[in-house]
Amino acid sequence: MLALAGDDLRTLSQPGGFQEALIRAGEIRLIGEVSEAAAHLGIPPHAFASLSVQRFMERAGDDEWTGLLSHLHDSISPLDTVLTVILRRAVADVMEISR
Amino acid sequence: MRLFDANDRVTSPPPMPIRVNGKEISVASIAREIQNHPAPDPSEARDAAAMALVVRELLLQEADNRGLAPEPKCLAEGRRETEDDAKVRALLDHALALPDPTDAECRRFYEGNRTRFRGPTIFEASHILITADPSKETAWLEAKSSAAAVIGELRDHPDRFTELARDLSDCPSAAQGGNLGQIQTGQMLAEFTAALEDLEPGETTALPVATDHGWHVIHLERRIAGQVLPYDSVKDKIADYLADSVFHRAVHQFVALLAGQATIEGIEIERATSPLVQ
Repeated sequence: MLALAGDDLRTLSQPGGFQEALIRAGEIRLIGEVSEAAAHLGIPPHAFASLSVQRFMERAGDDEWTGLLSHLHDSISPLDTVLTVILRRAVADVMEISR
Repeated sequence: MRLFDANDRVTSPPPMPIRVNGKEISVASIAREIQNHPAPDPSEARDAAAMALVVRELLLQEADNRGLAPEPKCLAEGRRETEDDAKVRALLDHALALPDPTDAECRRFYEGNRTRFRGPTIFEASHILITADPSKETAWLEAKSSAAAVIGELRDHPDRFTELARDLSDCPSAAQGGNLGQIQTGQMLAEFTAALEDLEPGETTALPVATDHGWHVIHLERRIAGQVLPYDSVKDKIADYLADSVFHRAVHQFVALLAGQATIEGIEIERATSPLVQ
């Protein structure tokens, strides 16, 4: 999982990287939500995506990793699913602090 | 566990919502547009993105007011206009009746800007190349020394250039005694051209000249100044340039007029209340 996330970070650091992953996962609405969350923090969307994954790796405990793995059970593309779950979490956190 | 908390909030107050005649330009759309406006400062990029979206909204609203709903066109490489792009195109075609530049206007531009239509300078030159890889320090310095030694020899025996080029030059021109024939600005590496431009006809470089290929000893035989191209060979390019300039000025003025008639909140935009130029 750490190796997957490491590769993912390199892809995410390029503008457009996370959007491609979310399009593959069918998460079109989430692309807009990420842009909005990024704007609330004053950073570009790709930087928000990259920072979200980095923070998950730094802060996630066993419960969070177990929860993440449970989403991968039926996933066709684990990497895209990991990214979707993390970004949903990150967007929710930003929307809560922005109220 | 939280990925983001209150410490991540931007400390400056949230910007005022941007609205064009009551329609809000969303924060999300500005964030998406930012990537089209690279700037050293993120706030500069954000402002440019917001302005672009405000201008687009003004044009789209005006197109709707005029009842324009054209069929999107096919573009190059199989792409197709979006419906919004088609509306903006139709609006500008409809609203801006721009005449083509006349021949008199083109000639006036040509006469006032003749130096822009001068052809490239031609150099008749020769060189001796001592190749070396700039990343290999020892070999690089050795090559420089060799080139410097050649220059020293030519100072005392300038008639030996052809012989030394044949014996020492690593360039294929060695077979012709280093003769490069006639070369133009833009055909050679920038450092080589710069060295030629500093030489008087008959002179050889006093120091070796470095390029990515190695060290050069360069001799200028003759310089032929570029000729001003005749009007007929550049008039089409002049007409395109003038038409383009007029179009951009007209769009700028049209947008300022639309802005003058609109209610725009949250951003400053140049406004006009009357056409300045017909």
